[in-house]
Amino acid sequence: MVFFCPNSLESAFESEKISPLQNAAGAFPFSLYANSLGAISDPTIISNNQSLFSAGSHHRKFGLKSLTQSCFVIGGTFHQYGVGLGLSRFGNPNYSETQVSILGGKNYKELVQIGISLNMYQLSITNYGQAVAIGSRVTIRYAMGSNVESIISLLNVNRPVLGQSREKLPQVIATGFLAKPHDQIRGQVSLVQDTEFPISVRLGLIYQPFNQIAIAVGKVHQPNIFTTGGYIHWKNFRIEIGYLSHANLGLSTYQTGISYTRIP
Amino acid sequence: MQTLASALIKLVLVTLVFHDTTLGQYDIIENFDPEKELPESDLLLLNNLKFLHNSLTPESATLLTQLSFLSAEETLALEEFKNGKLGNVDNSPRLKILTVHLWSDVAISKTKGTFLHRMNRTDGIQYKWFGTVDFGQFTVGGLGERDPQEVDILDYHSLFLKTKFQNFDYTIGNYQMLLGHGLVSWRSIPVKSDFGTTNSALRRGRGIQPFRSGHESWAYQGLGWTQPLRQGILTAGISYRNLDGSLERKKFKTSNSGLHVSKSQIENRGNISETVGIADWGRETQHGHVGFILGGAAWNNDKDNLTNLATSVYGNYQVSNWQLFSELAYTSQNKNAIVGGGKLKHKSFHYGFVLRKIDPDYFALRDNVFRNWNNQELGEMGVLQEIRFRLHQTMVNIYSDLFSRIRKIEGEFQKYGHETGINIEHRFNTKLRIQSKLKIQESSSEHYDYTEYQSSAFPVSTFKTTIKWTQSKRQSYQCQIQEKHNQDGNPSSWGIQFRGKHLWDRWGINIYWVTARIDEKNWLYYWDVNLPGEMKSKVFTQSGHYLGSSIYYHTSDYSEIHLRLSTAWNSWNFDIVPIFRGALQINVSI
Repeated sequence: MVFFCPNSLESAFESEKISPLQNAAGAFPFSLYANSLGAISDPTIISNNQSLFSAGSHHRKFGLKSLTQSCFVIGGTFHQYGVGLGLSRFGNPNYSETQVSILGGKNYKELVQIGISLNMYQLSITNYGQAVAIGSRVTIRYAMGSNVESIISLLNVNRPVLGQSREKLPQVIATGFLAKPHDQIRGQVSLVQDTEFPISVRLGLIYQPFNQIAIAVGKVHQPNIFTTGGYIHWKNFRIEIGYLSHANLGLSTYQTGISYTRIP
Repeated sequence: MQTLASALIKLVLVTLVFHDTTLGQYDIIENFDPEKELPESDLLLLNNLKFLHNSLTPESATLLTQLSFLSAEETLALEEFKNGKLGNVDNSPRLKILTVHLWSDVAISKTKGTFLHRMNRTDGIQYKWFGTVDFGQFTVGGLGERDPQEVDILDYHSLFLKTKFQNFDYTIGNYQMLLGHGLVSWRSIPVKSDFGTTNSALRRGRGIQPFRSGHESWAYQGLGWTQPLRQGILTAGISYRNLDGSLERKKFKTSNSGLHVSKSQIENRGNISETVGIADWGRETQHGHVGFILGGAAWNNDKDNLTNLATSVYGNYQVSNWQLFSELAYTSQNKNAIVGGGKLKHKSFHYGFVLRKIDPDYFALRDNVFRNWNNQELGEMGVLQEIRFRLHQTMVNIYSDLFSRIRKIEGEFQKYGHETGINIEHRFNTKLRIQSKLKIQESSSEHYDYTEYQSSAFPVSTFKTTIKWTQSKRQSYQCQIQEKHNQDGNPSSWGIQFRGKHLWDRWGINIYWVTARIDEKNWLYYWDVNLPGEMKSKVFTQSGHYLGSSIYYHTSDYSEIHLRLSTAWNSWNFDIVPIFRGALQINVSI
């Protein structure tokens, strides 16, 4: 049984769909690497010419079966555009949120990458029925020199609402910087603002001592979370894990994922 | 006469020495009064000019002519530059400062578009996005904004497309029409009494411009075009939109706040539907320009509807050394307004005057003519005079505005008011400049603070001395001392500001410190530390201290990151928790 405090109860589709490595690096809301699950939250990453890839993750928030989240994405290049399809599901047999995303990306002058996703949100509650809404995400990634990228994203600009009660779906403005001061180090700073909540400030660092291994640490302010994790790269596979410790709740949770890239 | 004037200036400069200290100068727009607003479109235009152009070219000169604060001579110089005459631009100090400030960096290849993302933390976080892309045949631009606490992610947005087809200039989307001298259709911010007002009032509107401002209820929305006729040029527009405003007592007013946070604000969002048709015909004559404006609008809300027709005749005339202008407007509400004036220029001597008479309850479509009081219900008439002359390295500028309400009402509002300003600026050498301004105002104030209505019938004197030290293009300092008092015997408000600017190859930093001692209602205004594309002022309503800094990092030839941090102690003894503010801005171009 799960008890929620009504004052902090989030609305439908508030759970972020990001990869274990993004979570490990301070819940970075944008993709860290190409060919990763991050494409669901940031389709700019599929705009570069790349081979067919797929990625998936599984997550039981706080170890609770009722709060299970699974995500899957497949993507590749079609002519000069990156295209992909994302799928995520959150909840349990009685309450489930399903999101299907059609992803598209375009690279312009190796300077700007624009990503757009069309999201279909479906909420299903046993004995109550289901409701569907269509939302969108626009993301722009800009190479501010050889070592710094800035990324801006707007989720659900089209103001989607769900069901007869016309519940407003989350609208989120995210701004981030991804820096690569050294070949083995990446750092991120991001600001995520759901228009209904205070801004969330996020910091993270990824250290890659070898090609096959990386470790990540991060900190999220609002809510207060310490994060860590990493990945192991083996042949065409990458296995990721993210561990989140919620300081205020005194609870922790972890997320695992795997991605596969076809080498042409 | 010259000796007498020179002695007077020396006397004033000796007085300034008592204000102590040194320091330096910044942008041209900082010469404006921080108590008055500057159109946001100007700031965004400057941002576009910096990122879309490398130098003064016919294209960049066209954009420069849209800046509201340029004088008629300066816009003429830019027009002549477009036709191949360079001399007048070189002879205009302000244009030279502008071009040096905008394009002082190493030239990069021409860019096609520019984009700005700004997060500004105040009571919540305001987001603003602005972008323009030039596709050659057409230009597309847009602005998006979400104010603090607003639930909608894109609470306000504005888009335009500008193109040229067979001698017709078309603007589709959000646009503004600057016609005549502002009696029928103008920008969202009017010209106010200040140094240089005669220049601004004299300047004729330049027709249709894409709307770049964050004012949410000012733009026309639809189609605007300009077409040459056999005799003259026709500029016309049609618009239909919903906007925030009020229809009361047969009068229409747009809302200036743009906030949609409270229940009533959200309910009243787009509460009025507006349909507008407007046309302007103008032609050049032997001695100037004449024009005729005809416009009409219909406004509807749930309870009421209103129509208004407005017409005006305007002209600019050159007679010997005099440049004269006038506009006379009449509306179907049986109200009329007139504005007129002139400017005499003889070598470095300038004299200008502006007369206006605006009927009580006068309104047209987007009128915003030069006036001192914002209150439209009581009307206004007045005369402003201005003199500017140079003596060696010293520039003197004096203006005086006398005005009165046409309708008198019971209560605190005075019927008469005046405002006088004296500005003396002396350049000792290329590094050191001292500027001193004295401004005396007597008029009922019209603003509200958080707790009560503010009204003052005493003359208020503001004395401001600015000492600017420009060590080099990359290093400058400024000290500004300000004193303000009511002439009713109460103590003065005092403020002192220190500023320093240091630039390196890719980094730059501005640091501000202000300490202010405030007496009752004599608030002090300083320009705040600002990011490119914004021009906020910092108002001190109580004694305290303020530390601000802005840092910029030039990440590549095409992009910059700007950060602003500030801390305010609203207590003289620092015995209070300081208020932190910040802003982040990303400028990129492609």
